[in-house]
Amino acid sequence: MGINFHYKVICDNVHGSIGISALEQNIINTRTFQRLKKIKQLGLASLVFPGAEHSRFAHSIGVMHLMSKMVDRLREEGCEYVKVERVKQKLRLAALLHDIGHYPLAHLGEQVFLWVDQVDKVPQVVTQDKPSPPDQHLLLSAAYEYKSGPAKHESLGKLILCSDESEIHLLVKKAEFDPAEIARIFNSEDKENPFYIQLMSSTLDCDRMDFLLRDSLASGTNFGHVDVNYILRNLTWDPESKFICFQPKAINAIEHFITGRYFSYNVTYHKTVMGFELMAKVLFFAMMRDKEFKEGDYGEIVRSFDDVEDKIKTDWTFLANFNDEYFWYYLDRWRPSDPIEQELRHNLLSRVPLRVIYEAKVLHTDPEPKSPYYYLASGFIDSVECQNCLRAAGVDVNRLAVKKEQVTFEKVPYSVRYDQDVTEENRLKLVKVVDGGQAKDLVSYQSSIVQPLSRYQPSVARLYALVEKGSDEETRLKEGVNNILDKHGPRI
Amino acid sequence: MDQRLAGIYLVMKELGGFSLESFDDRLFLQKAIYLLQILGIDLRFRFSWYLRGPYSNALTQCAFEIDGSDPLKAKLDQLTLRHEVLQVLDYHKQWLQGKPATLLESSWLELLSSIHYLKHISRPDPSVTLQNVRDYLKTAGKTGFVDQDIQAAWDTLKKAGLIDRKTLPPPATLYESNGH
Repeated sequence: MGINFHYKVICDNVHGSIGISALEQNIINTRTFQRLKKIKQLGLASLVFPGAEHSRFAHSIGVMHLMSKMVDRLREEGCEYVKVERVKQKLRLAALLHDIGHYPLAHLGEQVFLWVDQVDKVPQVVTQDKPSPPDQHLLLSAAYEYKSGPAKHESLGKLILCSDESEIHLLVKKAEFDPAEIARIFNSEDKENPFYIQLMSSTLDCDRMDFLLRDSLASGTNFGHVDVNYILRNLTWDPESKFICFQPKAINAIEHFITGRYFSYNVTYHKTVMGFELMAKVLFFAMMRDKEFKEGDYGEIVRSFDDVEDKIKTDWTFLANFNDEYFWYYLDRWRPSDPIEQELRHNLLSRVPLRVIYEAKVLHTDPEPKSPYYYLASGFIDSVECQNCLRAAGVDVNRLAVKKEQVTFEKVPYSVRYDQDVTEENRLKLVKVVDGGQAKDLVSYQSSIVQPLSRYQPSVARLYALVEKGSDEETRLKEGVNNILDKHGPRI
Repeated sequence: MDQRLAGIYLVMKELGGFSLESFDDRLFLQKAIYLLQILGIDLRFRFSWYLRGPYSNALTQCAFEIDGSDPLKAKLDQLTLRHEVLQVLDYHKQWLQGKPATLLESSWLELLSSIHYLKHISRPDPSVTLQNVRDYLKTAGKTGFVDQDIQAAWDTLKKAGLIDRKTLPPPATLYESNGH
């Protein structure tokens, strides 16, 4: 008997009607999955875009829906890897559960746990030839982005799925699927099946397609008006190389998608949103490290990924509350002793953002060594000029942070070394077009705008300060920093 | 300072240079860091089995992050590895000097790390023998290694204490300055 993928129907504001199977309904109804309703997709973006309140819950269901559409299309194209119905269910489950391990405040929370892990667990393997600068405040360190570590949300997701006591684990096993395999698929670790990696984690995967549409709709911006359905209708595969690819007539729509993602960063990397995220990151980290802070009806605040693991093993109801509210609950009750943390806490709760003192942008992958961007992004705060400027402005260096954001259009830039630069792993993730019956990387097409775009890496560096809007400190600081950096060229 | 990025960059410089230009460069990097970790300097990269043995996605990402940033490299060039890490790297250097003549350095490290992984991680069973590992290597498609090379790698790991145990203990002094 086949699987009924329309056992129930969910009404979604992005995709319309989404059918789900009985197994999926049971999973969705678990407390563990329901907690995603209280984890916002875009973290603190709703502080700037009030409509951006959509959750990881809706997004996960949307991703499952798009995965299903991709699988159905590939089946129509005769793809042997997805012809079995149970494979379709397995891939739908991987898509549905891909964000199950997200932390409170999503990627921001993950960064905090990676930060803690780095401080606690990674050995100090290097020394500096020069004496270390005085202890820096957390605000200066918070801007650093950790790309990897055992505390990644994918690891928490794997834990949730694979733990014997987990309600989702039990449901999946009862349906005779392998929870570990599903975790490998959504973590793109299933190297035995590179085909699945392409569906879940590539430049044009079901995750990205959903969040482009959803984030645009919710935030009230227009970057998401991309014809994703047309792209999906042109999905196919190359039986020889086993690559997923698209018909050439979808190239324009794909280019629109790729550039749409670039414009989406106006929301996710919005200067005020990034400022709030810096504040929240510092406060979350500081709360976790404050050994004196013990109160809370939820018990003592978790202090590391290991703590989260231990709590889950003893009490699964902990996980149900481990969402955005967890952060706000503890922030409300915490009383920091550090004056800067006190101010950050007050400002975050009162929606008073950090001030942007200077912003510099570049487009090229090799910015001019003497451009304002380069100066700002390369240890500007440590420079003698900046220190002098801060003294003149009467601003403490610990009130500053430099945050950088970068955007790439494709996984590998197109260059004369392209064939050497592309690794096996990257090749799986690149968008491909079927050409003469074979999959060819879109970035290698001279006629596609993706090729020149792939060589650019739009980047922005911003100097933030914890100063009052319109204050003398802010004015003097801006004047001083402008004088230092503007002489190196245009800032944008 | 991200100790992991600093560790990757400076370890590779110490072993001959940081480069991601060729496939062999990237293979060498993966295996060198894997071996560094089992020798007690745990940079917290987690490995799973792929075509050429233990492989870490995260390590690749970090390596490319360094490779793509000259300012970062300039910053890392101001740092030096601690004495404890340099001592561990002596193992690597001895192993590289003692490699079979027929193997590239990257292939030799691939063999060492693959044997260790198969012995301790993919099938964690104390009774796994050299013959078992030989069979696993063949099953994994690594038919390019001859029996003498496999024996040599096994003996090398055994001499370092890495057949009877999964990892060497970390130097305690490396963790002294951690935390707040």
